[in-house]
Amino acid sequence: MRIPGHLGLGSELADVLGRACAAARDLALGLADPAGGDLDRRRNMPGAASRVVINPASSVARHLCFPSAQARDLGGVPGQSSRCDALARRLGRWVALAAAVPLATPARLPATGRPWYAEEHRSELADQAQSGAGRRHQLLFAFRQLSSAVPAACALRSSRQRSAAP
Amino acid sequence: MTIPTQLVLRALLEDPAQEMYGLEICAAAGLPTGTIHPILARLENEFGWLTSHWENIKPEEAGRPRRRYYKLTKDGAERARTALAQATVPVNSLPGLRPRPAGGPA
Repeated sequence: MRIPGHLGLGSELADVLGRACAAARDLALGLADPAGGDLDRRRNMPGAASRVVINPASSVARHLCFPSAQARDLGGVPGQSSRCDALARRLGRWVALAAAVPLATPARLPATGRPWYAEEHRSELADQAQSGAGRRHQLLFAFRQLSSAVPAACALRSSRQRSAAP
Repeated sequence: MTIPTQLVLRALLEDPAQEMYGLEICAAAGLPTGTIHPILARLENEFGWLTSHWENIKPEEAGRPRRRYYKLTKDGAERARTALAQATVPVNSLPGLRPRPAGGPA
C-alpha cells in the first residue's frame, strides 16, 4: 500500500506507514490463508485480496490498519504531526509484535513437529478470530503458544515410552 | 501428575469416543487457550495415550484451516483413569480448578 504524498505527510513518515501497512497485509494473508504456504506466491495469485476480506482471521490486520487510517487523517491537519508520529510508532509496534509472535512459536519446536504445529496454531488463531476474539485476545493466545513452545519441544523430543504416570 | 494434565485427561475422559480439537479441550478443561499443547504432546508422543489426526476437509472450501483432532486410545483411557484415581492431588479437591463445560459461564 502506498501512502499518497498529497495527504500532507512527510515523505519519510509516509514511507514508514506504507511499509507498516504492507507488513499488516502480509500478516493478514498469513493468518487468513487456510492452506498456508508461500506468502509471496499467494499474494500474487488472482483473488488473494478477496480471500483476505472474507476470512475472519484478517480482523487482526484490520485492527492493525485502523491506526494508520487515523494517522493519515491527522496528517492532513496542521499542527498534528507529533500525534501522527506517535500513531505511526504505535502502528509499527503492533505490526512487528503481531507478525513476530505467531511466526516465532513453531520456530522453537523440533523440525519434525514444526509444520503441523504451525498449521494447528494457525487453525486455532482462525477459530479465535471467527468466534469474535479481539486483537488483544488473539495476541494473548499467540503469546501463550510461544511460552508453551519450549515444554512442547521437550515433549516432542522425548521419544521414549515410559510406564510411569505423567 | 500436574493439575493441568489431570484437567485435560478428565476433559478427554468425559466421552473417550469423542474426538476433540485444541480449543474444545481448553474450554472443557477450563484451561487458558494456548497452554495445552505441551500436555497433548507428552500424552501422545511420550506415553502413547492419545492419537491425533487432521480434519478431513479442504481448507479452501471450508474457509478455515484444518483442525487437529485428539482422542484417547482404548488403552490410554484405562491408564488415564487409573492415573487419575492414584493422583496425589485430586483436582476435585482444589476449588476453582474444576473443569467447566464448554461454552458455560466463566
